[in-house]
Amino acid sequence: MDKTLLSVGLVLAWLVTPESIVLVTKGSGLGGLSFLGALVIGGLLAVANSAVIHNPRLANDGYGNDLLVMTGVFGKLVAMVGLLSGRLPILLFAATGMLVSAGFVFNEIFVYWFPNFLFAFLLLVLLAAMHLFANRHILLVQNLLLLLTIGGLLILSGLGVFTKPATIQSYSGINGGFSFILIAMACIPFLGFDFPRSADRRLISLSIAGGLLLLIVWSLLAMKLADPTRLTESSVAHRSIARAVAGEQGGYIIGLVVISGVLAGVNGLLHINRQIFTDLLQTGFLPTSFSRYEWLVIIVLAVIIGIMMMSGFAGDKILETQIRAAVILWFIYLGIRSLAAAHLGKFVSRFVKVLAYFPGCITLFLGSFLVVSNLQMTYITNFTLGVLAVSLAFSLLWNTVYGRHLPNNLLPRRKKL
Amino acid sequence: MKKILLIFMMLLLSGAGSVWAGSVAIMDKDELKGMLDSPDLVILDVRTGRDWSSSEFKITGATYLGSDEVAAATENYGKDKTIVLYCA
Repeated sequence: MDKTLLSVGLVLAWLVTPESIVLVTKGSGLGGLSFLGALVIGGLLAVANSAVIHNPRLANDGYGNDLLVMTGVFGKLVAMVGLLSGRLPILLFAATGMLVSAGFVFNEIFVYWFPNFLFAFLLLVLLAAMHLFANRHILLVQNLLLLLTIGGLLILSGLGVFTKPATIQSYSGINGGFSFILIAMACIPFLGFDFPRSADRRLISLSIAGGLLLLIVWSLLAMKLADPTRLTESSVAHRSIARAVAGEQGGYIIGLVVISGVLAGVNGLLHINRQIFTDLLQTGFLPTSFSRYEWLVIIVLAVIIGIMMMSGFAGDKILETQIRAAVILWFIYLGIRSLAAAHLGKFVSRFVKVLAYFPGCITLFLGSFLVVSNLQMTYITNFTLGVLAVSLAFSLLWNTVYGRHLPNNLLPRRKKL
Repeated sequence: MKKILLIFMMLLLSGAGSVWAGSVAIMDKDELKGMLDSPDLVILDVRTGRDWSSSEFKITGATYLGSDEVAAATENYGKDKTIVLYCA
């Protein structure tokens, strides 16, 4: 099958994860129907950012990936820091949490006697093995996992239309009104539009629109079947919603949705991090002799995630905040990347060029808002600064050992815009 | 080489959890079930993070505590009580 078409499957990798489903469920409890408006804004922002980032003229000019766009504007050192801090933490922290959650779901829904942690480890080993031995089929697997997850959610939503709510329906939410925090929350599930490299912008926009529709349907179902307090406070409300819709069968369906969603999300995150290593090789940021060790990247990442899981990270309350901080770092990184793409891109008119800066600016604003509005603002700030410091240390080390021989901008000089 | 590393990783990942768990006395669910009606039984649910939030399984009558609150909480119960900690 066409690789361009298959890589679109990466767009929704994060959207179908339980992280996103739980966030949308909580958002529905918090904002009620207003959250649907926030989701539409989140989707539109993703489409706008994607249009700027995936501007075909950028690729034609040689700015085909994260690294070159960032280097083209900020230089090689900042590009390295951005890549390390924007892409890696989300994989390490979110994968740890999601895999453990999938373990609980398997244990509690499917096989009671099977240890939840062992199942989480098996999923990790399965994904690592797929990336090592069946890398050519990764995108196909990604699309199959997406189909399974989306199919499950659609079946539940379809059956939910005929389900009579047990409680009094409330579509107003706890906070009721529209707020910045709702919009910022609603942008998070759409992260991932930056994953595909060669996909058509229209296909990416279409995928985002499909994802938006799915989330709206799920949000309406959540509001119909559970009261706002339950939706906001519980992290397993999606499981009770599924059971309210279809009883024990609903439990099995949501179990499959969670496990396949976790696999799709971790697979997508592993894929993009491996892709970064390939980019580093192809752009000369790493010596070509390192290409022999491409497989080692997957092993190292899987071992780090495995160690985090074994050390009881998932049982620590702080993991949720760390995942949130990692998501914010990813979000802010995309805002900066979007601005860099707007700066380098050629647009049909000066007006459109000015417009192209807007999505990046809004993303940065919402990202900063997510930091300052969080109850754990101090921890998130410290975590973010810590990640940036470690990334900078690695980047400086790389620059001292290898990078200083490279020109600051690897591309031919840009023609005047 | 890749295969050897993958096998090593599988062994490491699947083995380590049970090695750590081996040093902790474990009560199985049937044993606990038999004691549930006892007035001397105190169940403290000390799961935190995702161990708590990702699980739908809650024991009726269990008191939810953070793991750092256990020491202080156990002092409130008499020595005749059987305290069961539910941690995973």
